[in-house]
Amino acid sequence: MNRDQLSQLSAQASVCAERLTLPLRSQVWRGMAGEFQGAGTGSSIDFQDHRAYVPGDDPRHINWQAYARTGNYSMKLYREEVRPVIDIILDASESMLFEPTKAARTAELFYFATLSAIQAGASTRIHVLRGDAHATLPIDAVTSHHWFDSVTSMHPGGSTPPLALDQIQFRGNAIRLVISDLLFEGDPTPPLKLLNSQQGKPIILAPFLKSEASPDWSGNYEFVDAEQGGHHPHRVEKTTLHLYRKAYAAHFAAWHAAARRFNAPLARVCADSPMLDALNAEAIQTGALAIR
Amino acid sequence: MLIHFLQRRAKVELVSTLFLLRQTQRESTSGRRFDRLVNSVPLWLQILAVLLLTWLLVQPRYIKAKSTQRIAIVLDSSASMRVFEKKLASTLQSEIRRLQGNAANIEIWLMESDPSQGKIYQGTSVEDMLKTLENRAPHSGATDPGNTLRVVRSLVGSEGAITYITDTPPESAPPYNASYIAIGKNTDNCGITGVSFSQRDGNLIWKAIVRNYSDTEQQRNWHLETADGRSKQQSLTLSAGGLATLQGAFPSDQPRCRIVLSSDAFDLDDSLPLVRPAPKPLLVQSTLPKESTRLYDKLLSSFPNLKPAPAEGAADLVITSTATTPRRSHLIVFPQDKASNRPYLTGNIVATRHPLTDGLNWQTLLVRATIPIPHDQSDDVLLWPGNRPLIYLRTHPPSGNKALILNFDIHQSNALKQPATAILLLRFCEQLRKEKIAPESRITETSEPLEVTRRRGEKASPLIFTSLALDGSVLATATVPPHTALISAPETPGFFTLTQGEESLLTSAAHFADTREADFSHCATDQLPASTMATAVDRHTRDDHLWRIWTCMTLAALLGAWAFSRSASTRDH
Repeated sequence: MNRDQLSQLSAQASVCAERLTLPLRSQVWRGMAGEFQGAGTGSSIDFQDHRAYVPGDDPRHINWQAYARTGNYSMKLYREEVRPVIDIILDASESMLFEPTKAARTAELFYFATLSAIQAGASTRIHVLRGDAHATLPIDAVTSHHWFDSVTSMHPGGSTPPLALDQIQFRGNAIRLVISDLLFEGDPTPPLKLLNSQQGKPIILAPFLKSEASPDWSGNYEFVDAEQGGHHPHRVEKTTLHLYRKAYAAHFAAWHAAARRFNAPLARVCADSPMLDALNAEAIQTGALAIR
Repeated sequence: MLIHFLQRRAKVELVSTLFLLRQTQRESTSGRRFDRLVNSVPLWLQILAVLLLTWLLVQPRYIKAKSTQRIAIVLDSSASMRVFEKKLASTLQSEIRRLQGNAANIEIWLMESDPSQGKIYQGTSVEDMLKTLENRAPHSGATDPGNTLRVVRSLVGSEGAITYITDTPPESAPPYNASYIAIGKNTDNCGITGVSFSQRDGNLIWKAIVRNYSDTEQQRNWHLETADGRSKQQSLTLSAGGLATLQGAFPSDQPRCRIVLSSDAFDLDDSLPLVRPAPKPLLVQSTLPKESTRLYDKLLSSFPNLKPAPAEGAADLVITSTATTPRRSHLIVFPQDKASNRPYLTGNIVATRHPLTDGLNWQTLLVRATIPIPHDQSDDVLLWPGNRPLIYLRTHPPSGNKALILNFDIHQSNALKQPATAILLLRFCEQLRKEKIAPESRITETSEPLEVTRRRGEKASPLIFTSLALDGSVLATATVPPHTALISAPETPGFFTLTQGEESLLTSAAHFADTREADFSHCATDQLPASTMATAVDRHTRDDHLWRIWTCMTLAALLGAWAFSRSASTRDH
């Protein structure tokens, strides 16, 4: 994809970002001051509680009216307002990019996540995983559309693990937005456990193609693995196709079940329909995104 | 399959879900190759087309329900076959199965190669046929199967199958398009080949010849047995192909005895039954004048089995110079002429073709022209010097007696110095003796045609053929019509008598003496199949008349497969 295409995709993502946002309010945040309610007491104007004065408390928060009435010092506690922390993890494996439609939707989701994070004033880190290669991108790289070149220049090692989340140093109490098609073999529990560690909040946006979900293969095929290459001869009959669809459905059913277990919203985003429609279809319902 | 898998080039597809495809294959219990064959209409159509094409190319033939293969099997009747009888049943079964080929039914003729023995079995059941062979014991000599093969060829027709089963491979292929199977093998055998008798010191001495037919030295034991017991066992060693003579005195108090060799594979020549030989005597009486009695004495002493008649009127043959008509007995007439110096007869001596004169030379005979005895037109003239009948045979029709008339004075000729004269007289005596109905005892060979003079005519009693054991007990009897042309000795060695009414005609012991059959050196296993099997296949089967339908179905299946493949290609495109 060239810059113009990326710019166009970014524009479309910003349109979506105006209507939808990340579910930042559902999270109890700690950390640096910001726009969102913190878990502790802070300096916002929202009253939270009273308690007895303890030496060392900020005298500005002594409830002088109560002192006048009772003669005892009591403290007024206000809710803390903090900046949310968002780690965006982009699965840039070849399966995400080999097909133009899917690659475009991946880019759109990436732009959307970044813009949403910027708009929320969140502390954002962008991680890109391509096989076992890992890179952290600055936000400028996204806004200036250089990110795609950086991603495609990454070279995964010989053995490409499905999603090398263990290479990322996650920040605690952060939203961990993963953009991945989840098309790799294995138990979904370990990656979700990683994403859920340190009180993280995983959100998964999984772009998919209808041709992946329900292909119309028939006859002899030389299948080439998008990630590992190599030719694999197959003869696809109706029965094979039926079994494949069952396996595909079972794969994502396992991911949905695991995601529910870890309280991680998982939304599959169709790449073949307009982005807003695709996000409205599942992301809102599962709580992966919220209406602004 | 190859066509199916090679027909379409596989499409190359870049996919991200290969691991899911692999999962589908892991779930398949039958494996990948089986999955490829499931529910592919073109595949099944192509398999159908290939099967149909195979069916067409194989050109299957159906057996005609009513097809019948006529099979004639001719068994070698020679005695040597009895050694290999155990092989016969299995050989017949396999051969009939082979000859039946594709025919639905069979009709079998089982014949002996000896034309006189005729048919053993005719029918459709192999089991029944084999039952008829259970007690088979061939005993004939070497026989030419040609006649029987000709007969069976006419029975089974030109399309029938004929097999000749023997023990010795024939030097040339059997005639009439017959195949042959030789089931023999080289087998060691020793056997008695013959016997002779002589008199020594008033005792009857027998001499038996034993022969070893094999290529190796053989050891045998032998003994003589009678009704009262058996002699001590004696050992006999025979060199390869060698002969040995056994001899001994005939037990004086026994009418029968038997020489027995220790048994081997061929049993027929292992025993030699003997009876005391006693030829029929010809009783002779002379009415010649005293000066001619020397002639009578000479006949009695020179010719065998001539005995002087005990009483007048009991003679079978009367030697006379006067009578010329044999009313009561046979006659040999020597006319006498007292006159001397009669001229010698001139002219060419011509002998008539007759058994009595056959091969005799009369050219040196000199006789004087004595007074001739007038001869009848019915007389058989044996010798003609010129126009005068010199020796002739006269038959008396009412009695059947014969008179040999020498129509010259024998004393005034050189006839007594002529061998031809002696032979003529001997032949005449032998002929009379042979034609005489009288008891006789002699050794015969198995299946030998018996020349037994017996009473004939409507009132003649039937002949009784009695088989005897060594002790004289009767084993079996058979009645033979008196006018039967050919009477044969029994087929297996043994004692027998032949009687007519109360009159004994022959007492004999038959032994096996066919040395060709006892020699197994040429026996071998061989086979020559017949050349009619290909035509038999056509005859008993018909081709598949639905071949047009199969062809159409093949084309339809191919077109269907092509159409399905094409539609799939279009859809993929």
